[in-house]
Amino acid sequence: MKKYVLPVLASCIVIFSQCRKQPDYDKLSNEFVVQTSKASTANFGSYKTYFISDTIALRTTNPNDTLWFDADAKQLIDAVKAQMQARGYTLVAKGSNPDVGLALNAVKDLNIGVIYSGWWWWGYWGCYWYCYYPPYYPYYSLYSIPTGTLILDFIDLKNAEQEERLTVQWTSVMSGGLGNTSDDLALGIEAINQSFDQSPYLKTN
Amino acid sequence: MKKLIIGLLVFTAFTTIANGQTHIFTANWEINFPTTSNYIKQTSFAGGKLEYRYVIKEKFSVGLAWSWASYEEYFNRRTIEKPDGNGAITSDYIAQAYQVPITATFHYYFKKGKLLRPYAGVALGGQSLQQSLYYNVYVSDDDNWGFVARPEVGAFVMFGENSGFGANIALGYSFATNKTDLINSNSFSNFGITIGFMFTNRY
Repeated sequence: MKKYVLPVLASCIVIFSQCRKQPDYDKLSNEFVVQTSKASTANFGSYKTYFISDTIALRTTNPNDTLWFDADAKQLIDAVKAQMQARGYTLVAKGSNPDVGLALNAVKDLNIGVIYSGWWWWGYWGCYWYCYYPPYYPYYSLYSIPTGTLILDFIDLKNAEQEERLTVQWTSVMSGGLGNTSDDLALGIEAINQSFDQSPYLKTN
Repeated sequence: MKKLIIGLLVFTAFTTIANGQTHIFTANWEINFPTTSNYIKQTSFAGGKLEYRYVIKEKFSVGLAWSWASYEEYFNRRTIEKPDGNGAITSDYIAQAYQVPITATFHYYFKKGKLLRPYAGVALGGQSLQQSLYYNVYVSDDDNWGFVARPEVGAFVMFGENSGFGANIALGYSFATNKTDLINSNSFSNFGITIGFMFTNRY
């Protein structure tokens, strides 16, 4: 009987070593996670013109870092412009009463954790379009925002005065480590393109 | 929790074997094949089962079983739409599930051969299911409990005519009512192959 004890014990050790394992993180790519949300009542075909700034609003640990405006930032903004043009929207000057305001935000060197839609405006909303109207998100989503996240908001300016609020009809939160690797700018541009690819409703009539 | 259950099993073994009744203990490795259609499909080789059976009138036994299985599968980058159509997420991800059923067991033993003792049984109880989706730097978790039923057929293959040690081989199907919003699923099911050792105080 004793000769069976060792195999039985060995089996038990093997079995117990097989409990829940950590996943193999090496399998995961460094491509951005792209999350898009839209208002269920949005009529994207009703908008014709839009405006986007040539700078990206920047959130970092340094409160003096508020704008990102180098060549990399321009490439990201140009990617948004190209997608909007492809969807039939016309870029106009800020003073030409655009129907839509596009706001591009970047979070760098800052791990925010789990937040809800619109967090990124708190403390930063600076009368960019209308001083009296805060941004309003007609949908509720939770996001985990690590450093290197891009956020693109599609804001209804056309009806802002009538509704007395800035309704954010569509949001894309793109997380993936912008600023960490040499190829992350390309990945950021790809993430912007993916945001539009997975939002086919985003087009004018 | 694991140490407590092992301790209880060992304690039960030493305190009950000497009392003249027939007791069976098994320690097993389990291979599981998930069959829930919209989730992990990859076979799990990381599983096990510990079991105690109390034999009643030679042909029946009642007992307790504790199993666990870890499932994992990598999915290429894809876009998943929210059910209401108002959102979507694109990423590659690793899906993981950790299944721990704790059940009462009932077995019927067919005619005993020289070394072979086939049986059929069913296990009923509760199942803890911990499900996680890992994507980029995120993880989404959902832990829940459900009712589980697991019919099985198997056999003890004794190592000798007068031996109290043998092998245990069984095939079962497990259906559990674990509900999770993470993957919009109301159940978790799998086929399982059990391979292990058994020992008994009488044969």
